[in-house]
Amino acid sequence: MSLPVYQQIMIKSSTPEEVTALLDPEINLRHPVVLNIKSVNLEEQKEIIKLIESFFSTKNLSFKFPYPVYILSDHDPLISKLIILKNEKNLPPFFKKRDGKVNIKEAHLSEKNNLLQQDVKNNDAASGQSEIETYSDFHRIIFNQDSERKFYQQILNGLLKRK
Amino acid sequence: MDKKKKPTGPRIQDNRGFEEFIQGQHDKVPFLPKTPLNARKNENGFDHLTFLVNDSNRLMKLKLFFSDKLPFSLKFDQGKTISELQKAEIEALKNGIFEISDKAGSPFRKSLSEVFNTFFHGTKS
Repeated sequence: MSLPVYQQIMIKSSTPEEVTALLDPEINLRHPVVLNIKSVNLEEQKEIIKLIESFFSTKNLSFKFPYPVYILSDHDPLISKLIILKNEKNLPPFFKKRDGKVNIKEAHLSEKNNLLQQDVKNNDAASGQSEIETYSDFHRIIFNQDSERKFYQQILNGLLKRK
Repeated sequence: MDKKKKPTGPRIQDNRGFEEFIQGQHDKVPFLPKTPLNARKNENGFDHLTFLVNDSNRLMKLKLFFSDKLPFSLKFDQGKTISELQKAEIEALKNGIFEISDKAGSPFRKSLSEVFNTFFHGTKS
């Protein structure tokens, strides 16, 4: 029984066979994963990012739930939908804990968490991802329109006061 | 008077053969060093437990979000309706502003005429 702390995987080759051998459909089921690809050159890093992205999309897996998958790369985060970070310091501190033995109480809680992890995964988080994006897009539009409405309301109030 | 009694007579005989073992123990470092009772507590404390509880809460929220909230919000999506209502309200506000500004003697017209008058007056002279 281990704690859900970061598990770092070093990727040293950009060949599809070697990259997919390191990836598993249940890679982020029990703990967050950090895929470190900094040891290869920039071109190869791009290839690896593409391979990882296609792995998650073809298998309809979520790279955010139940635990996130981070990629440590020198590339710009905008080149992919995956979460790309420059270095380990940028990793969220929530999962930065020292791994160690767990006592009975903690083991029970961990078992309960295992069920929840499976539950989140079974909820098809990958398909929910696109729905979340459309939902958030609408909220962004609503926010912008509301700012515009407030601006016009302010002008109208000013004009009505002067009247 | 309470004096420390040295073992004498039959007591010495009982301890015979174990003297080294009994006496030597005080000075020597014990074979298994004693760990303080709260050593593990100091090492981890409730850190692991708190972390697991927080993670459990996080997972529970995710589960509720994916199983209840997301399907509900998709089934009864309000985004489009709210957006259309906002657009209509923005149009109404724009019309209101235009109506007030377009009236003769309105502050907007006054300011505009002042700008024009000063500009053209300046060029004529």
